[in-house]
Amino acid sequence: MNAVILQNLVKRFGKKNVLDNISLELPENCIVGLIGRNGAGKTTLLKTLAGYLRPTEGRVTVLGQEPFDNIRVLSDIVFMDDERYNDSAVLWDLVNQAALSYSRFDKVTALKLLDYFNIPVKAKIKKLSKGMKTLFSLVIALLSRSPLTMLDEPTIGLDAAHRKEFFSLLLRDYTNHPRTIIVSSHLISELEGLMEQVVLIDQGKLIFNRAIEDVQSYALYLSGHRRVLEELEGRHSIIYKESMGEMLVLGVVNNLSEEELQGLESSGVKISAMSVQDVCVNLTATNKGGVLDVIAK
Amino acid sequence: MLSQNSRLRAMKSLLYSYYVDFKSFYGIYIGIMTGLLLSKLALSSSASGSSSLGAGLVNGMFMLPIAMIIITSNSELLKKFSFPVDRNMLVFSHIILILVLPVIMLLTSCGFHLLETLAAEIALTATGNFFYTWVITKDSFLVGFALSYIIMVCVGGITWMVFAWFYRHKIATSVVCGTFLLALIYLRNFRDAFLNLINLIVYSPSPGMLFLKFSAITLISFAVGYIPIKRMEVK
Repeated sequence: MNAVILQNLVKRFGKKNVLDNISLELPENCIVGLIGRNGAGKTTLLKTLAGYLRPTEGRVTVLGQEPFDNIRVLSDIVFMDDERYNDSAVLWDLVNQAALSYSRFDKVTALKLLDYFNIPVKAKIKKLSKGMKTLFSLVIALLSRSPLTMLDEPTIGLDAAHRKEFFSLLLRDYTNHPRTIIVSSHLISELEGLMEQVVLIDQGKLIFNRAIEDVQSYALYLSGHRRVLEELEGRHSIIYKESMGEMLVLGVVNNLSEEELQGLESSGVKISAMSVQDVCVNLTATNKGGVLDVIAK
Repeated sequence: MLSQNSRLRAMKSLLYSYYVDFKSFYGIYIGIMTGLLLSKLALSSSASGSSSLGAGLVNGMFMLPIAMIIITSNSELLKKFSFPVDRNMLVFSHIILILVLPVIMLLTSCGFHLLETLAAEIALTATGNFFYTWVITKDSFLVGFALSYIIMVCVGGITWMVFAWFYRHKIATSVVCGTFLLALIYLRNFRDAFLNLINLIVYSPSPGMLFLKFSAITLISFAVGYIPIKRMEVK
């Protein structure tokens, strides 16, 4: 069974289509990376799945039902972003509320983790640093063990050590309690080891929804003499191009045959795999050139 | 069954969060009442009416609408959606607050009245330079309590309805309220008609009828305020 099914989802604010005809299916028990640039529509998509927003058109199904104003679905969903809790709320009260709200919430482990991170449960939210607020929200979200756990930019404000610990915690908890976890983040390279599925959106449109292995082999960097590489441009899909004199670097969608790859190598072309981060960045790049082009003018 | 469990769990959690929120609200109410009682004892050498009961009503009439203005705001509702909740539950919990908070505030003011009476009795025995003359019978107390309660509930309900609409449809609600106020100020016929309507509501042959009229207004306020919250998106 799929945890999430979107059919031609459109979400419009005024005249702007923030989500534009998105159709996708996300399986149960899987970690999904939701990737996109700022303003791509990631948060709107998560809020629609969390039942905050009503689809303008199309259909959203979460755990078999429509989530908008549906408590049966909502009680199996947790959505964590950076503006979760009332500033004047005391952490202890929020832990108790989580225990009341989520049938699977592990209060004992939650309190142990808060103690480990030196987060005082008697304090108010407003007394915590940005990183501590994020850690607190993460502990509540993860320990709720909701069948659909959505984390929107979960590492904002965390230092490198805490990010590493968070990813370890996420992976361990997921292994022990498999569920569907959607993580929206800009830190694609840090997420790469966790994600099983990658959903890339740009300007409200779905670019792709693929298994991580497919994305890791999605494209190649070819670096070599312009004369050799330019003839590839008509035959293959190019997602990145950079000239340096007579040298050319191309990012090519990986549908090259073995013979073509061998031919390129024998012509002195260096071939390397494109990282997941670069695939996402290149596929969502604007046609305005780079920021250096702007300041060069 | 599963759905019932989810609903019950969510409702408990929501009421718990409002209980936590309103502990400080109640603290403020107690603080104001204590301040009034102490100032009365310190400054006055006579008492011709219970300051606690009057102050309790006036205090509640201000604090309850302020609470309604806060709990209907977008930012406050967003925080409530941090945990599973649906819009019906949200409205239901608000109605519970509107119905329960006045009882708590009025019972508290009754408690203060007892303290005030005790203090007056002590003052009376301690000095001859003091007198007090308030007389409350069982009937007058019950009627006063019931009417004070329904007036507070009605004011709370109307405020809740207006701000439930205002935060969701700021321009439309402002235009309607602004037009109403301007008409009240500049159109004599409209003003007279409105005042007649108020007279019709307030002047009743019996307290029971007055209670029923305010109850009806409160129910209408709940129904009208439910519409924008039921349709709202959480942004």
